[in-house]
Amino acid sequence: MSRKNTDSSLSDGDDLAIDFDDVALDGQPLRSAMALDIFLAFMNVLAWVWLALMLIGFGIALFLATGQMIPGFETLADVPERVLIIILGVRVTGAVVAILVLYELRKISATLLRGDPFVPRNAARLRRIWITVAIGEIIFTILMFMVTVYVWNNPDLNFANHWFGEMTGLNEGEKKIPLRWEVWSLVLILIVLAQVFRQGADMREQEKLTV
Amino acid sequence: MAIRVNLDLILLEKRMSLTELADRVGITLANLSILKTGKARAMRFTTLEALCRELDCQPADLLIYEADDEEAAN
Repeated sequence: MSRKNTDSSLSDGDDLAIDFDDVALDGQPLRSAMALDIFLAFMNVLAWVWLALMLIGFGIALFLATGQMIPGFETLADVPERVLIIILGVRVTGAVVAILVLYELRKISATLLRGDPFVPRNAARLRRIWITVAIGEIIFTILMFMVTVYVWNNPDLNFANHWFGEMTGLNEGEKKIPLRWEVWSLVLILIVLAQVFRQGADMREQEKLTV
Repeated sequence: MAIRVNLDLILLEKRMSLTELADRVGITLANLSILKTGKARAMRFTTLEALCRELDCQPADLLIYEADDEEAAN
């Protein structure tokens, strides 16, 4: 028999009482899986830094909304406070979505390192990822739609040649609903992947009970 | 499960321990326990072949069909 079974303790909660992996990896995790894990940890740090910056920005926007001016932020005087607050709300939402997605991805990556990613929990994690991305995108669309409508209704607002307009895309001046098809395509791909993973996990469970 | 693996009795007859059989057959004790306790969902022909070889028996000696209560009621 060429297949090599070795006892090991996989600690993914819903696994069998007796766990064993039959991964032909000489018991060593794949180098690419290790690299991925390190990359995800790095991205996680970046996402937290990004969230912190956006929260600081959100605080500044709230402060500016009181009519006060902070030295160095004079250029934002042209931007209505409500637009600023909503845009920063969008950015905070984006950072929170990124952190939640990275949390689940790192959990999946951990199972990859253990050599057995096809566990029911990973299917649930992929499901949570697409739900998180979808909810984040719905919030993004609603908030950006509010901003867009506000800009439409205030023709005197001109974000052209303004760094804020360039950053947010509000300088384009064209009337469009902020639907990002690429994100919804990603959600669709994630839904399919979650289903594939669920079936894969079921098959792996069967395999585990095949002697 | 309607199929029972009659490993206990054969091991007793052959005066062989589960650990020894695991070593001889080349599968883990954990897998053999799954087989013995009736938790297995399927058995590979290669496993069956190795068990028959080491225990000097036929597949029919190892596998016993017992109708479930539900099946018997039908």
